[in-house]
Amino acid sequence: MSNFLAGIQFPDITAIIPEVIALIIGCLILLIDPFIPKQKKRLNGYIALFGFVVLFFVTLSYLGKSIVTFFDMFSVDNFSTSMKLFFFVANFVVVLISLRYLEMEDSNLGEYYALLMFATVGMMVMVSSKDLIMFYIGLETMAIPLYVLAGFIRMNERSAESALKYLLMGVFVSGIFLYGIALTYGATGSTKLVDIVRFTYINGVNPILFVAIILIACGLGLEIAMVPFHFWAPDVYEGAPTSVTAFISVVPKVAAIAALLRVYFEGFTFFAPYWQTVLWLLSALTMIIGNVTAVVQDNVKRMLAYSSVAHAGYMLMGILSFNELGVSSLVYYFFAYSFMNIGAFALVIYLRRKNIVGDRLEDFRGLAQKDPIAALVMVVFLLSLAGVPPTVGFVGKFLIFSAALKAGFYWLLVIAVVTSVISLYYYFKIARSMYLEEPVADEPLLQPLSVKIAIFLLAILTVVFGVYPTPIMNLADLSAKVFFGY
Amino acid sequence: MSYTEIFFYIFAVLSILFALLTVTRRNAVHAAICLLLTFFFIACNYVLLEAEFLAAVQVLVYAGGVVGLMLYVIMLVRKDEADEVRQSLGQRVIAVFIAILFVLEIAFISLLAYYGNYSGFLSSKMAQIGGNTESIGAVLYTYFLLPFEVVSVLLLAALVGAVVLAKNRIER
Repeated sequence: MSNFLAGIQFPDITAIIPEVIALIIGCLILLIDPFIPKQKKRLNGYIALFGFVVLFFVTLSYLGKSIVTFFDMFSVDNFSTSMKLFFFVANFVVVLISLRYLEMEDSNLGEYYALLMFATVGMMVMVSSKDLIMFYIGLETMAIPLYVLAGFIRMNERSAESALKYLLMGVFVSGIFLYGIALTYGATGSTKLVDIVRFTYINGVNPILFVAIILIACGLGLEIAMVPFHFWAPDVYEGAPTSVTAFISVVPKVAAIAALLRVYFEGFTFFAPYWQTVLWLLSALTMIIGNVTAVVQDNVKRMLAYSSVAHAGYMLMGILSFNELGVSSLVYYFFAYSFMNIGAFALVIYLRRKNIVGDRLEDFRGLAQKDPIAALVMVVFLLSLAGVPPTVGFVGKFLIFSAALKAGFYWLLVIAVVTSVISLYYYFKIARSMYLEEPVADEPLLQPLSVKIAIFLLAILTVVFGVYPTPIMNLADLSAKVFFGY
Repeated sequence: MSYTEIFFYIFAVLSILFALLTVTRRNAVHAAICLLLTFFFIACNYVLLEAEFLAAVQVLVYAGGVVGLMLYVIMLVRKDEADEVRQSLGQRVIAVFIAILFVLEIAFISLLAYYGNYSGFLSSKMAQIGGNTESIGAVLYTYFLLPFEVVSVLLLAALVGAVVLAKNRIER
């Protein structure tokens, strides 16, 4: 036994400090929650907000560092660090729009923020891991809080239904993912990405791994919401609390795409032509089905669900380009997508008032007369989602398209451009409803302050980084160097 | 014939006996209890084969968890309805075919182990360095330390989530 343990190095614990801090904040919220009186439950949200700010600055100090520890399982590099920074920015805004919304839905429990924190820990582990087992555990740690959050509104049938649907789909797909890992382990004798790439370098291409590559894409495909694993998305997005929908549609999707990118780039490097073909097909289908189906929706949450499916297709283009520009444009697109998509959902929350969820197209009718600024801000988000300058959405799409062009995927580019044009139609259905139709007399808007702050923050970020994208571009270039720096 | 071998055959016969009882009993509770005993005797054989970790997992997961779940399900089914359900699916040919395939597979593996000197290779080697529980523990707390710790976060999140969903039902 003693010689078994000899030569084992103590892992570098400094690498996981951000994860540990996130976990501590999550547990702290759980511990403090029982002592907070029912009217002051908002304090939990403030702790979470403060926590994300602290985490942001702690993680910022890791930028430029490169640590691989825990026996080649965990890696701190610029890519994982910038992904973590992304999570904190997006989660900060999600908490901001949740504060008032949860009170309105009468389910303002501290556990909401704790579960959000635990899901964040899972995602942080996911983007940092260099081992398939670690990926799987990160994925599950992220997914289980999500199922609960989707069913968070008390006694609401739709919320419960969406949680159950999400859970059943998630369990099914995680089995597929595990099967992919098992096949990889059977073929290469290891779950570590370093060993997989070394094995395939020495022994050449193994046909079992072709199957494994598809199964791994399927397993992550649920969170990415790519075709054919998108069926859950509209139902879950519609039924879940709107703040949770904003979260699910952005942050876990980005985490899953980042994980897929790392598995394919670092583990299956020598299979590049093969997985490029697979992703080509998936990306094309995702863009077409997502955009075309969105046209016929008249529920804004469902429409945004299909639009987020379509955006997953654009993001897959960043992976399958398999070049430096592809990664950096993808990282930029993550930030852009989070600003505009959370912004659009925040507007739905802004319209939430007594007996009105705010997700029907009629709820937006005549908003320009009732609240001109909110309508204008919504138009900014819609322009950005459609990819019209001068917004982040335009810059993101431009970068991703040029990465695909550089890699020579001309037909995919044609599909992407055509579907982007289609998307203009359904985004502007909302704009038309706001500007050209007369308002209906119903409950007045509540205009909660925290949501207002979040919306304006996102709108400013959407425009500012659309005109001056350099800061995010620098971060994106740094993270692309992780894979193509040599 | 050593004592170990005698006990091995006793446990083997008992586990087959209870496995047969599991599939032939009409009463679902009896069948579940027979299944539990089958798992238990298989676990006994694992101990005799120096795979004590597998034995513990067998008792905890299968005998404890899986059979417990089955009994829960049986509890939720109404007895008079359950008695009327047909006991056979009417797919005898397919069942026999699959059973023969399974027997052939096991026979093949046994022959491979017998002639290829693979028998007891791993477990005897593990026993020399302190048994397989220690080996698994040593690997779990060194090479797989981080996944092991993250699983604790996963379980905590699942626990909190279950409480949240259940508590909401009770309060109204």
